[in-house]
Order: sequence, then C-alpha cells, then structure tokens
Amino acid sequence: MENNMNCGCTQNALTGPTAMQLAQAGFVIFDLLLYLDTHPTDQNALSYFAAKKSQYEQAKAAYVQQIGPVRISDVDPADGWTWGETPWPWEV
Amino acid sequence: MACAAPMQAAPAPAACGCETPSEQTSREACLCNMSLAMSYVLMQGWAQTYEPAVALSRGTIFPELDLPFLAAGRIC
Repeated sequence: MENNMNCGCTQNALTGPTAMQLAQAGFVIFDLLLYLDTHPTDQNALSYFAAKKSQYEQAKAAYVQQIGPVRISDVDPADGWTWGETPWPWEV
Repeated sequence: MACAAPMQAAPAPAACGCETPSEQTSREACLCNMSLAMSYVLMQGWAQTYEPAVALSRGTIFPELDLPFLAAGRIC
C-alpha cells in the first residue's frame, strides 16, 4: 500500500508502519489464534505466535505514536482527543 | 499404517417425497436424493506459512489451506 502524500497529516507517515502493514501483522496473529485453538500444545506454533505477536505490538505501538490510535483504548486523553483528530487508516 | 475397510453406508431412502417433476429443480429436491455419508477432517500439522502481505491477500497464513472453492452454488 502506498502512502498517500495528500493526506494532510502532520506526522511523518512515510517512516512508520502503514495501516496495511498493521492489518497484515494483525491478520497473521489472528489466523494463528484459530490454529492454536485446535493445537494448543504445538510448540512451533506457539513460538511463531510469540514472534508475530511481538512484531504486531511493535508495529502497533509505532503506529499509535507516530500516526494515531488504532483502538479507542489507545487514546491518551492527555494528548487531547486524538481519536477524531488523527488521520483515518485509509488516509495514511 | 494400513487403512481399515470403509464402513458400509446405509442406502439412501428410495423415496423421500420430493421427486415430483415440479420439484426436481429445487435445491431441496437435489439434497433429499443424496446419500448419507460420513465426513472427516484431517488434523492440520504445522508447516510453512505465508508472508504477512500474501497471507492477508489469500485469507490464510497456511499455504495448504489456500484452496479454490469452486463448488458454491453448484450442488445440482
């Protein structure tokens, strides 16, 4: 997914994770969830989940810091109402 | 490991009340003439996975589950 240069956002979206990359990382751990529900002791899957979960969390933290909240729980009221004032995922 | 002999399935009922010509094209008519069967699902094993971008595009992280589903709407 290409970054939209006309999004009008002030953050440097080019150096951070895009919404698509976050969606991709999130999908991986969600599909692993389905596998692990039926294979809860599969050590290969658990190791892979740990790695992919860490990657997702890092990508999400970077996205939240550089672009804006992904979930409502990411909003820090100390920063103001970032939920409605930061770029929408399709604008990044 | 040798496979056990398949269990004999019971024959389908000879008539199920929906064989009239006017119903032959209906979905229900097709289904009621089908034989009973036993289904099974193999236990998936851990194998290689797609890269995240491919996985999201294909709807699964597992190449072995990336299958074409071409039979939708083609029961009859």
